[in-house]
Order: sequence, then structure tokens, then C-alpha cells
Amino acid sequence: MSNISFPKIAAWILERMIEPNVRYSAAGDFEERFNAIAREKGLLIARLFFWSQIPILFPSFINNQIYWSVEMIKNYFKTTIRNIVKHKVFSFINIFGLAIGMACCIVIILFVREELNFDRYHENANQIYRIASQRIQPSNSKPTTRSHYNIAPNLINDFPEVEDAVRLIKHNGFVVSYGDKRLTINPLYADPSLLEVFTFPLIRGDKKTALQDPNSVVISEELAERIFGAKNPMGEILVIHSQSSKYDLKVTGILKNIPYNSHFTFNFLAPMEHLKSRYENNRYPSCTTYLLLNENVSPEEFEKKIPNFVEKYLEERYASALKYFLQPLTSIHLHSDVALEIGQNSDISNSYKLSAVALVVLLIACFNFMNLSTARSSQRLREVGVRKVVGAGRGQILRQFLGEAIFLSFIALLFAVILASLFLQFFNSYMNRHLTMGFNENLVLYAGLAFLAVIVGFFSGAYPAVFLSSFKPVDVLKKDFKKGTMFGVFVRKGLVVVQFAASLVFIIGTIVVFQQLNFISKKDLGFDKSHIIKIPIYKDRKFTQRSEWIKSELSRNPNILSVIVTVDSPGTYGGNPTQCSPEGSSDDEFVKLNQLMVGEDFFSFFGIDIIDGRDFSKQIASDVDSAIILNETAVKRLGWTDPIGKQIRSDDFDKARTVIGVVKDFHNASLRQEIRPSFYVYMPDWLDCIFLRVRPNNIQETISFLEKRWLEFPTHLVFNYRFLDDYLETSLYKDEKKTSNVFKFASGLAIFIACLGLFGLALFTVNQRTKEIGIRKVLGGNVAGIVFLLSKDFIKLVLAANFLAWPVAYIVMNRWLQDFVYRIRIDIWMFLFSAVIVLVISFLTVSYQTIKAAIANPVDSLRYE
Amino acid sequence: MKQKRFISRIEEIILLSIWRLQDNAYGITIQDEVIRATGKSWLTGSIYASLSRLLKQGLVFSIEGEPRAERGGRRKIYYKLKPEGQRALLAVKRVNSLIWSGIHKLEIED
Repeated sequence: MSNISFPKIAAWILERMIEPNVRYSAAGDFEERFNAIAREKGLLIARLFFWSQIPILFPSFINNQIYWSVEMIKNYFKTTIRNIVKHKVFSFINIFGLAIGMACCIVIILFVREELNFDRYHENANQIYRIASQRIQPSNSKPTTRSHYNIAPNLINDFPEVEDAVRLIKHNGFVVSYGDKRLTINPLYADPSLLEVFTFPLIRGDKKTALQDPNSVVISEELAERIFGAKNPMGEILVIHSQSSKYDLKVTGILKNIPYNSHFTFNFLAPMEHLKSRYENNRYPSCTTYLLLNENVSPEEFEKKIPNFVEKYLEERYASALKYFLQPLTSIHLHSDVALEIGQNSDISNSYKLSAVALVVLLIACFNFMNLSTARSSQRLREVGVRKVVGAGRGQILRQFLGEAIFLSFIALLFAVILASLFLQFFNSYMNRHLTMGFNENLVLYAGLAFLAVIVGFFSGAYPAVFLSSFKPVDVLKKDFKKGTMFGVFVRKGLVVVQFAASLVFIIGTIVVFQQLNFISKKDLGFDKSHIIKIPIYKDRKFTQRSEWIKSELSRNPNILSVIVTVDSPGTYGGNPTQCSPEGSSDDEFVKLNQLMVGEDFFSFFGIDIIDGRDFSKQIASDVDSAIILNETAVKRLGWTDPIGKQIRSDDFDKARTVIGVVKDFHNASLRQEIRPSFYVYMPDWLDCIFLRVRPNNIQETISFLEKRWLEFPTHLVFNYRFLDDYLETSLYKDEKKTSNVFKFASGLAIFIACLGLFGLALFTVNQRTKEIGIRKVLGGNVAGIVFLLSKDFIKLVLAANFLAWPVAYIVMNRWLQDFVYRIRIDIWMFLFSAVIVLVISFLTVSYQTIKAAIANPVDSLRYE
Repeated sequence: MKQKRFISRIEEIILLSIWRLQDNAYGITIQDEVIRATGKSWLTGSIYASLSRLLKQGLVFSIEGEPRAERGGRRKIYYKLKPEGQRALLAVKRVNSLIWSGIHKLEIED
């Protein structure tokens, strides 16, 4: 009877909550009590009593649990610490390896987080869109950030969805002066609404009125300090020298410095009003427009209405040729792939690549941990055996070793944070970033790192824990227990192979990237770029008009071999694709040729041979509007055998042009493109840059001469120069340089950590075989033989890693090279060379231990124990 | 053997109850005795934490009784004091009498 009504579930729970040693008596007592109450007060009360015991018991239950687990944890802790201290080398390898891996992860996490957070600091970030445009007639061209000057006000008028809009135009290399001070700046011209749409807070001044007056200017904190020092800049007058005029601007606001995680930055903000006359009636998209859409407006719906809008405002000819589309502000940095960006954007693939690299490095470190823990398991077997004998279950042992791994990984995390702050400095300078890891602003990050430490500890500790807890106490405590199973050895070897394979991939990658960059910089571009100094002067139109005077002034110096003033050098710009109709073709037949403008003596200065006909000449007036020079590829494209004297027409020309010469092919753009069919037109009045070819042995002298001479020149410009070869390399192959640096760093770390692990394993093996070595020596084994014997196993693994690494490296690097039209072939020597590097490094690592063991006196090694 | 630490008040009360109950000291009777002695309602479960601790410290030991129907067929578990338990009780008694000696006028008159 009583058995039926007895609440079994509650009893079951209660039993679990009571100490095991009094559980039995308590269970009986509870049931007796229950029956007594049921008899006296009824079943319901009895049940209530019974169930209420559970919450009532809870506090003391928790108390007891904690007490005993704390006791146990104390013990685990003690053994952990003892183990770390006892095996200093192994602990160092584990902790240091993990710390390096984690430090890489920390840096990359910081990087990726910044990448993902670009532009998100704006309060309206999710409502801001940029209008990008794409020419779709006559053929699709690459979209650009530019849109027509007038669409911003028209959009605000026509669409209630558009809350506000901002136009921006950024100019480069203007000079601003204050008293005697002259600075080169890149001014941003924008509508006053910029300060309202975006979140760019002002330290001084009012964002509503700061840009209302066309003659006002807002500068950043940093620029204010550079110009004014400690002086209050508000109300001061700055003179800005634009290309052909200069005007005064009054400082009406000081911006807080623009955060680095913005897809465009600026330090000098002037009202758009100044550029109105110049751009208002421009037929081409000329400024960048951002829209602030109302909340709840779907950008997709809004985008659909744009074509009608374009038709309404643009001439038909342009309306049908142009497509506008919206880009969400927050996706611009990582996902926008359009031309004419105002700032330097990134690509999401960078984040993926770097994360992969960091993960691989961390993985290599985790493998070290797994390997060393399982290899050294024999040293802990006694402990496991004793623990099991006195009653520890497998679960407890498992937890102990997992806990140990997590503990070690937390120690590693401490070092990782220190290492990361070191790495960060290199990373920032290589990648041009401003990442910081201060504790206060990164609380979430640190919480995440603790989580990372747990994951890493768990990942690297799980296998050793399972391995160690699986031993049977009887086997373990027997003296002749053979440590390590075949499976364990197999796993360990496999992990070493993977580690070295990863290192090899990185090293091969480094070699390939290095070779390709070398190839690019050594490749004959078809023009002579050595010892050329480039001085841009296009920001002072009055000065450029005196080009003849500049030339004669500068060529007086014997160190300056020749001087030209022209548009730009070869190697920077591939030219503007132009539809041409060559002589003999019908009117609707077009050939697409790239158009480039050149100045006087351009070809002879850059050492480009004219292989047919003649160069442009200043003496022949018709050269400016009716002459054309082709490159070899263009002649081939047109299929002409005798091009001189033939005519080419185009919408871009005022009248038909006659071919007067053919130049040898040279690389007008980066080596990612092949040489395109191009033609050159003569623009002797476009005088953007001075180019000087200087004598190679007195370069310093020449530069100081130029610096001094420049001060007397009639220009407001600051003396600014670049060496052409240097400029071409850094500006065209910036990304490749970064890739190369990342590869170098990663391969260094990977091989270092892998070797740390190998060192540990070698140390362990040598210890294990001390006696064997002693006996071998006694029996007449020589040092070389013993070293070979001991190293053999490791070298085999490293060799095996090549089989894994080669195909992976080949596929990955081949893919990378596809970006270049002019590229190296991946050669077998690169693989062999990396294999040799890794082999030598790993042999040296192992040999420290093996040689030490081999030269040891056998008397000592045999007496050991 | 030297006593490591003095037993706590609740342990003292339980030990005394077991001593007082002599051969009839098991969970329920101990609880009732504690409630009687202190005048407060002690919970069944809270007795066991202390009993468990006393067992571990080796102050009491347990013996099994006959199986009983009202206990779901389980045996009663009787608790008895070990000499160590008695010694522990005497130790706190000595301390008690020492710290109370000479204190007379503590009573508060209502």
C-alpha cells in the first residue's frame, strides 16, 4: 500500500543529494517519516513534505559538493604544478608553443574584428548607402564610386525615402599655408550634411553650422596641432592653394581624429561650394554620393526606382549607358570591388587567409602538446594506476588530465597576451594598421580569449586524457608494462608529419612569393626606370606653364642627365579603352585600343625605341591633333603590315589621326595585365610631373641640390619626390609585399613551433634509450652511427611530410600565381630547396639531443637509475 | 590521540543525542531528539550532512538493524559513539565549563 503512493522520483533525487555514506540510512528514514505523516495527516501533506525536502536540502548539498571537489582540485592542482616544475623543458615547449599559436590568433582576431567593424561606429551606419555607377553601354565596364554631381539634391527632392545625402570629392596634394608654414594636404570637399549623416564628432564648433559658410573649413585635431601647435585654431585663416587659384578659409570646427576603421579618412574638410562651378555641369559622374535612407526603407525596393530617376535627369545618351546601384556603408570596406575608391579598401579574403594561417600555427602548437603528453604518458602511468587503485573512475582521470591541459593553456594565454602585444607592433607596421589590445576597451575580447584557452586546452588535452585514462591499473603497476600502444605511436608520427607538412607549405609559399616579386622587379618592362626621380607639380598650374624654364634650370646641374615634364611615367596606368575605326573598315566596325597621353621627348627619355616612323615633334604643329603613335601589339591587332601614314578615327578625336610611328612594346600597367594594343597621342601641354634622370653615383648630392634649388622656384608646392623604380614597386605590388611578409612570418613561426615539438620528442626518446645507447657504445658503436640511428626516425617523418606538403603547396601557390599574366613557373627546385631547409633545421634540432646522448660516457648512462 | 579541532555545535548536539538515545539512535529518533533539545525544527536532511561528517571523522559508527516494512524493506541504521566521539564531547564540555566559569550575571531580566 505505502509503496504505491511513495513518491519514487523525489526519493531518487533526494538520495542523490545525500552523502553516499549515509544515503542508505537516510532513504529509510525518509520513507519511515513519510509513512508516519501519511498516517497522521494524510497522503497529500506527506507528499508535500517529501517534495519540499529537495529544495530545503539543496544548500547543504551544494556546500558538500564544493567542499569535496575543492579538496580534489587542490590535489590535481598540486600534481599539475609538480609536473610542470619537474619537467621544465617539456612544460616550456608546451606552454611556449601554445603561447605563440595563441598570440597569432589574438593578433588575427583583432585584425578580423577591426575589418568587420569598419564604418560601424556611425550611428546611422545601417541606413547609409553609397551610390556606385557602372557604364553598361557600349560594354560593361568596372563600376566606380562616382555619381553625377546633381543627383544628391534631386534624390532628396524626389524621394521621401531619402532623408539626407552627402557628396564628396577628395583632392590630392594641395598645399595649405598659415603664415610661413606650408603643408601638403589632401582636402575633402563635402556638403555640410556630412557631419550630420556620418558620426564625425567635433571637439570645437557646432556641426550644424560649421560648414554653412562657403569660406569655412573644419580640420582634424591632429592637423590643427601640426599647423597651430598649442594655439586656439578657431577663427584662424588658412590659405589653400588649388591648381590655379588660392583662397582663404576660416577654421570653424575641430574634428575628433577620424577613426582608422573608416573606409575614407580626411583631416581637412571644406565646403563643396568651392567646386560647384567646376563640376555642376559635368557630363561624367564626378563625385561620391552617400544617402541616408529613412529607417524601414528597403534598399532593394528603393534601388528599383533609380532607373526611372536617371532617365528623368540625365540626357538620354547617358541615361541608357549608365547604371546606378547602392552599396551598404558597412559592406564597402570588405566587399566593394569598384574603381576610384576614396580610401584604401580591403577584401574579406584577406581575413580568411590570415585566419587560416593563424589557425594552422595554433594547430601545430596543439599537436606538440598532444604528442609530448602521450609520448611521456609512461611517466604518469604510475600515478594513474595508483589513482585508479584507490578508487578513481575513468571519468575522474579524464577530467584531471583535461583540467591539467586547460590549466596549461591558461598559463600559455598569459604569455600569449604578452607576445601578442609584441607581434602587434610588427603587424601594425607591416599591414599599416593601428590595432591595440588595451584591457579596458577589449573586455569582450579577453572573455573570448579565456574561452579560446578552454577550447585549446580541451582540444589538445582530449586525446592524451583519453589515452592516459584508458590504462588498466593492474597492467600499469606491473613492472614490465610496455608503454605506448601501436596506435599511440602511429597517431604521434602522423601528427609530426602534419606539423612539418604545414611548415613546408609555408616555406614553399614564401619561396614562390619571393621569386615572383623578384621576377616582377627584375623583369624588363620595356623601358628604363632606373635612377629616375619623379616630382609631381600638377597642383600648381602657373608653375607647370614654365616647363621650359624648369628644364633649362635643372639640366644645368651636371648630375642631372636629362629632364622632361610630362603626364605620367609608363608602368602606372594601362590607358583608357577607346573605340577606334581604323582606315579601311566600315563605320560600325570598331577596334578597342587603349589611349595614352605622352609629352615631349617621352619615348626617348624612358628609352623606348621607335621601330618604325618617327617620334612626336614640337616643331610639327599638326602632331598635337592629327598624329598618333601605335605600339607593336596594336599594329598586330589591326593586322597592318605598313602602318605609317594610315588613318584612325574615333569619337574621342576631333579629326582623323595619321599614324606617324610605331614603338616597341613596353609595359604600361602592372604585370598582372599583358601588354594591350595601345596608341599614344601627343599632349605637350599636359605637364603633370617632372622626371629627372640622374647620375647614379651622386644621388644624395643631387637631391640636396634639388631641395635647395626648389626653395627659389616660383611655386607654393613643397618639394616632394619619389624614385620611379621604388614608386612602381611599392604602389603596384603592395598586396603582394604584404602576402610575402605574412608568409615569411608564418613559416618562421610554424617551423619554430614544429621544431620545438621535435626537440621535445627527441629529448624524450633519447632519455628512453639511454641504456641502449650505453650498451651499443660498450659493444663498440661509434658516435656517428648512434647519432644516425637516433635521428633516423625523425628524419623519416620529416621526409614523409614532403609527400603531404608538395601537392597542397603546388595547388595553393599555382592559384595565387594565376593573378599574374607574367609569372614564374613553380619549379621542382623550390620544393627540394624547402625540403632541404626543413630537413637541416629538424636535423639540427634533433642532433643536439642525439649527439649529447651519443658522446655521453657509457659508464654514466648504464649506471643511470 | 590529540583532538585536531573542536567539533561544531551542531555536531556536539547530535553526538549528545546519540549518546542519550543509546541503543535506539537512528535518523528519525536523532532528529526528534535534536528538535526536543533545541526547541527548533530541524530538517530531516540537515541531520545527514553532520552524520556523514561525523562518520568520516571517525567519531561515530553505524550498525544495521532488521529490515522494516515501513522503511520500504530497508534496514534501520543505528549510530553509536566511538571512544573518539566521547573524547570529542568531553573536550568541548571542558572548554564550555572553562569559558562559562565565573560568569553569573548574564541573564537578562525581562
